[in-house]
Amino acid sequence: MASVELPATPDLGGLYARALRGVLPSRSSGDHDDGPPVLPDTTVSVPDVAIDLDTVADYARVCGFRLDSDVPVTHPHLLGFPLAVWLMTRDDFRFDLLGTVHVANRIVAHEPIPVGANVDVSARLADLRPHRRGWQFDAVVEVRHDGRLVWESTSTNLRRGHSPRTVQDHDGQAGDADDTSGRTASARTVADVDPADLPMTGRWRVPGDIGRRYGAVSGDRNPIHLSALSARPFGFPQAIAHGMWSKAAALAGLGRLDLPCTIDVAFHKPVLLPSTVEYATRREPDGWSFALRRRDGRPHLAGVVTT
Amino acid sequence: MTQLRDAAIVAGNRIPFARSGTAYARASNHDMLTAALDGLVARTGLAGATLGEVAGGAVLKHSRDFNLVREAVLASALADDTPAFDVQKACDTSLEAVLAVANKIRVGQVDVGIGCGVDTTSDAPMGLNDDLRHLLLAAQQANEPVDFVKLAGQLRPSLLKPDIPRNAEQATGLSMGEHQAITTAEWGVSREAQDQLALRSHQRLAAAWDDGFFDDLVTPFLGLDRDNNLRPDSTLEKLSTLKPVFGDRETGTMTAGNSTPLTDGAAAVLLATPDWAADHDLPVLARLVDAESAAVDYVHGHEGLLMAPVYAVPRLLARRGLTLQDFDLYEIHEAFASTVLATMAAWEDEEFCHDRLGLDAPLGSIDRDRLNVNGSSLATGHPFAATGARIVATAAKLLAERDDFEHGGRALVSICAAGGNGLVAILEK
Repeated sequence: MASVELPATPDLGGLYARALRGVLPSRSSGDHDDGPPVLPDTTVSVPDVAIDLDTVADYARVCGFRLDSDVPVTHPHLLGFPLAVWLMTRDDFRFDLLGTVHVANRIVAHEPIPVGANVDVSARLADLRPHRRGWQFDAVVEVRHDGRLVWESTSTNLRRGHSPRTVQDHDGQAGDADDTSGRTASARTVADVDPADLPMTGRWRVPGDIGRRYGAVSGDRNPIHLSALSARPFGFPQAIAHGMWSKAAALAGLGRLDLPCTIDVAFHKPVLLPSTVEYATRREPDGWSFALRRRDGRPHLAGVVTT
Repeated sequence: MTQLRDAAIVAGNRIPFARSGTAYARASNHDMLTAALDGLVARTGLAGATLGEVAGGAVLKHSRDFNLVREAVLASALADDTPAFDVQKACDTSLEAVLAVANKIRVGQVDVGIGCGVDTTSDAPMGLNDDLRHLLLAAQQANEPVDFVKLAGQLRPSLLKPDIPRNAEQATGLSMGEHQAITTAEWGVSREAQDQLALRSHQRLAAAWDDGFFDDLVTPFLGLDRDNNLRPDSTLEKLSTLKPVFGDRETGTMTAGNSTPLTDGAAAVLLATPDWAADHDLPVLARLVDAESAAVDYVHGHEGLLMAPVYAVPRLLARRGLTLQDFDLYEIHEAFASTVLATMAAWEDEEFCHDRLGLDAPLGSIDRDRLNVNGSSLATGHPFAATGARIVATAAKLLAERDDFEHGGRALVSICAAGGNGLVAILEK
């Protein structure tokens, strides 16, 4: 596997502009059809990324975390996501980024990361596999502090369409995230969580500008999150909340988490903005089950924390 | 009535204090208080424990923070079923909170609890100004279109001017510093004496940090591991060059160097019965044995705003059968250097003690070597509601450290407050 070291975290705005060119009519539409799908065989890394207090404070405020001496458990996603997008906008990435859906995310938080630390961040794409509705692959991010692996994340993405006809439908019930849950080694999985079954902990009014606010903090200004107007060309009637914002907000609601822990989330229906959602949680012997759902019980997100 | 129990001070913890707008500029009261509580809980091994009560508060407070302490408990490592309540008494807030918990322990209502306080001037609340607020309240009551038209006619650009909290007395409009400047002039407290007291505060705090005194009293926060107001290298020469900031701009004696700066920070004290402490393998540093509050009429009564402790102390001494000299340590909050100096001057003044305090003889002087021996607010800074808990924790640890005290280990804590309030307390080994 090749490795590329970048001097600094790439700017997401430029990467999205590059990705946007891929969906313009002038180019042969959609994915590259020549040859079987493959992923870039490259690990991209940025050394010595400073985690600065102001960014952490902004992130904490948007997501509902308390500002503390260690970063919120989901915060390092901001460091790794641009690297994953960088890989997904390369010419040897054979799907179009903007048609790719984030269906699941697993974070393994090994150690607290102090605000103000400098960390090494790397990302790679892995495990391309056929899915009944297209192809799935993982964006794997690793964060190291003083040489130790302190945080890792696996984001499972689905590229819809081009379904390989040889693939049988899976029998999972957790929507597009089904075969992620089956891959976990821990006893309790996100597939065990029935979002409609969890006791309600809170009712959130998710404001219409949360996509813009999270976009400003994370740099992830994907048009589907910004406004109804910019989301419509991508098939959404309104802007939708960032999946990783809803994961972060759901975790902020749990309060303190003992590390190390693993946090698995499956994303279901997007949270249309603005909307009122139910937050549901249950303490488990080894952590938590939690969900965000519509008031009719249909799930936006289901998750488990295991320690 | 059953016998009162002892209220033991078992542990204390704070985050380093930070000058306004510096290390904690992005932190809220909730963030800081939770950090101080979590540090205390971590050091005492109480994660997941249910305590009898947590009392505390903040002076500068957003209206959403009416349950600040309970919210901080929920966010902390304490069990979620630990009850908590908010107190607000200006700079006496956390000493009053410590006293409330101590009293609950003494009468047998709880076995263990925390008194705490926090303040930020960096994340200070701002409100709608009163005109706009009244307009919006009226709009909520309006039904007819004509009502809204009338209200719209009252809209003015000036309505956008926010209501910013000021460090000023409601009754007089004077800031605390301006009030203290009057007291300073009345007592003839010299510039040099103030600067010397300030210098000594910095030197003693620096020495205490260097000696590791705060190793088990402070938890680093947001990258700060020492009070950043501390100026260990300050000198009388440097202090003497500063311009007066309160009182007369030419002849005034109060400067930024001998007044406390606006500060962010949080502090907490764990109290319990000695039995509870023993059951949890925790020490008894000291006991809070008694306290007295007083207030002065600074509006029309010609008494200094910050002089209430001067009145509280003789009442407390009389109740305990003590003299002012029966203490091994004195912790007099350094709101301003001149507050400490005027307080001591008043206790030494025969006429004042007779006329104002109703005493036959002056209380007399105190041994300066026993005063604020590890520095105080001039050096650490003064996050209003956190100061009481900081002082109690420091005094308790000082008492616990030595066995050779002349009076067996007894400390007097004295904290003046806005509104002409004052609260004093006695700690004993």
